[in-house]
Amino acid sequence: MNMNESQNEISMMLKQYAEMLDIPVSYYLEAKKRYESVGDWLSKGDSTLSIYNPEIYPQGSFLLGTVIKPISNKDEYDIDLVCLLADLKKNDTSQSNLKSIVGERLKEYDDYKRLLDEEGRRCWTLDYANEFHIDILPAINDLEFQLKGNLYEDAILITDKKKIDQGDSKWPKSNPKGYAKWFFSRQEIVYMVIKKQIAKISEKSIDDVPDYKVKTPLQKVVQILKRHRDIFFLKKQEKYKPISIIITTLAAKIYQGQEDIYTTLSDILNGINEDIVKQDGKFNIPNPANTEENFADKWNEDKKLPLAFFDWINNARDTFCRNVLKERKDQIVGVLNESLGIKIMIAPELDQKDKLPKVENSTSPIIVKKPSKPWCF
Amino acid sequence: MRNILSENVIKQIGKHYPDLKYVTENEKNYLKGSVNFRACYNDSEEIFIINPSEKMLIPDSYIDDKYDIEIEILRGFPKLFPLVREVGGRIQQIAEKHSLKDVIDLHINKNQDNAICLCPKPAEKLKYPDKIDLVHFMNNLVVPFLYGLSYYDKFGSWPWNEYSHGDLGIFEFYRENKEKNDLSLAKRCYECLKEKNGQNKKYITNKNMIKGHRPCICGSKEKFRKCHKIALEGIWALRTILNKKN
Repeated sequence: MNMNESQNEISMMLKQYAEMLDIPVSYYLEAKKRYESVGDWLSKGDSTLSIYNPEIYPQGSFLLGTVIKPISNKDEYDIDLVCLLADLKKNDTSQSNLKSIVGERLKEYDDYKRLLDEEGRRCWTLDYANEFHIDILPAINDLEFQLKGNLYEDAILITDKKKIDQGDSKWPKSNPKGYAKWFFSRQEIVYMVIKKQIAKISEKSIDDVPDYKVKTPLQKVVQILKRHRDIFFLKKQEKYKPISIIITTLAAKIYQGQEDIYTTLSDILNGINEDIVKQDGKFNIPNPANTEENFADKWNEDKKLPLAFFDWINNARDTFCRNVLKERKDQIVGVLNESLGIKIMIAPELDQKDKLPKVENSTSPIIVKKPSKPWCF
Repeated sequence: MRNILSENVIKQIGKHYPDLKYVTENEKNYLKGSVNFRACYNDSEEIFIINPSEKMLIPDSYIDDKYDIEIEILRGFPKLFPLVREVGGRIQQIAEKHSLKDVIDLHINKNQDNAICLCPKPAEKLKYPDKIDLVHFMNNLVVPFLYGLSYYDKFGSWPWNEYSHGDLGIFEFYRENKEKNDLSLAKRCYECLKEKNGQNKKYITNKNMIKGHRPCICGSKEKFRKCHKIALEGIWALRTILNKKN
């Protein structure tokens, strides 16, 4: 296979993997329905919270479009929901008070009371067993940070039970909307191009194309890398697994709007080195939406974390950069299938017919790819 | 009665499957006799190899076996699939050994006089869009199936995945082929839904999509998406392609 042909074929394979890793649309829509119901309960009607003008919105992979299927059928999808009490001022409340009024409102609905987990460090969790669990994060506006404008327009303050118990009353900061704004700015043009394509094919207007239908090469690569990480760390210590926000941030930082998924993946893997994760000799991956926050702060406390990270990156390079240089497509796919824990279907090699032994006598080997799966009425 | 198989095809069969003879009986055309094969299966790469050379041999999965079969060539050949039957009593033996209640579990269709279901009905046209090449049919469908029987005999499981019975298998099959976006395949799948007098067709045509947390249509009390997840996704995929045009 010459380079261009093979690159296209690898990209086709990667697209298939990404599609199989993605949350199925039906699950996504069901998840959305669920969390919108939770949002309605918290904010509408005679909710005790309605005087604070609540805004409920998803954060994390659901907001970024990088959700991946859990590895086993028994695991659940994680949905992170921010419950922002927009009109509640910092001086009129405390972290424990904010946390508890949100918890109380949830408990007022019998169904949610039944699903509510034990109080978490920063959030309340509704556990829809075997389907999803929804983490609800109580928050208020970080008016001080919001003055900085731009990415900081929606900065928030959240609660931390552990720190309160230790006597620390400083409000932790977060900025999920700012992060998403940054993430989408890294793929703005490609995003619109794809949206236009979908609009054209489905004969709709661009505004009618829902965001969840659009997946850029950056999003797909993040999904593939997250999954590769999950499988890689199955046989190792889970506590050293690199966190998704680090993978997402580095990928988005390196991404330059490439339209081809294979190019995106190899550029990102080749762009991750010691320099990009260090500043002044220390490990530092700053949150683009809050540069005071260092996603790699724990790497400076435990050397095993950066070691595990680079170990994994090397393996990913092996899988996606070196492995794909092999001659035979079925060998390439074999390695990809194993490292992602998914089997894809590939079209038979077009020139394989020539490579098959001519069956002159009946004792030459006969190769049958993907033998038929039997069935019956 | 005119021979339904050309001289050339009979010659080809004779070369690769010398123990099968072409006969006409009761105005039906058959290939009858035995098939002797040596084969192995590469699980990780999903490659089935007949007559493996030394380098290709995978000892754990290697099987050398022989079956008495009859292949009924129907009038519609080479467009219609031949009916293949195991006539040496092996199926019965294997079923008894593994305490199978019904030979349907070995993919035998009692309604066609115990013919083997080599693949889901809608797949037939996909595998042979035009004419069926009998030697290719033997190598790619019949021998792997017979290997599967021997493997099942030995290990108690099929060497590769099987489709679920009936309509669920059709949904699963469509799900695995949905990327092809093949409308005629989707229509064939829809037409093949036979269970409960075609009742399952409603899952495609109903206004509301069936949800994953509903009880599985196979009758187990489990949630559909836990029980027969691929079939569920197949229903959704069929709905998408078939309801688009209407």
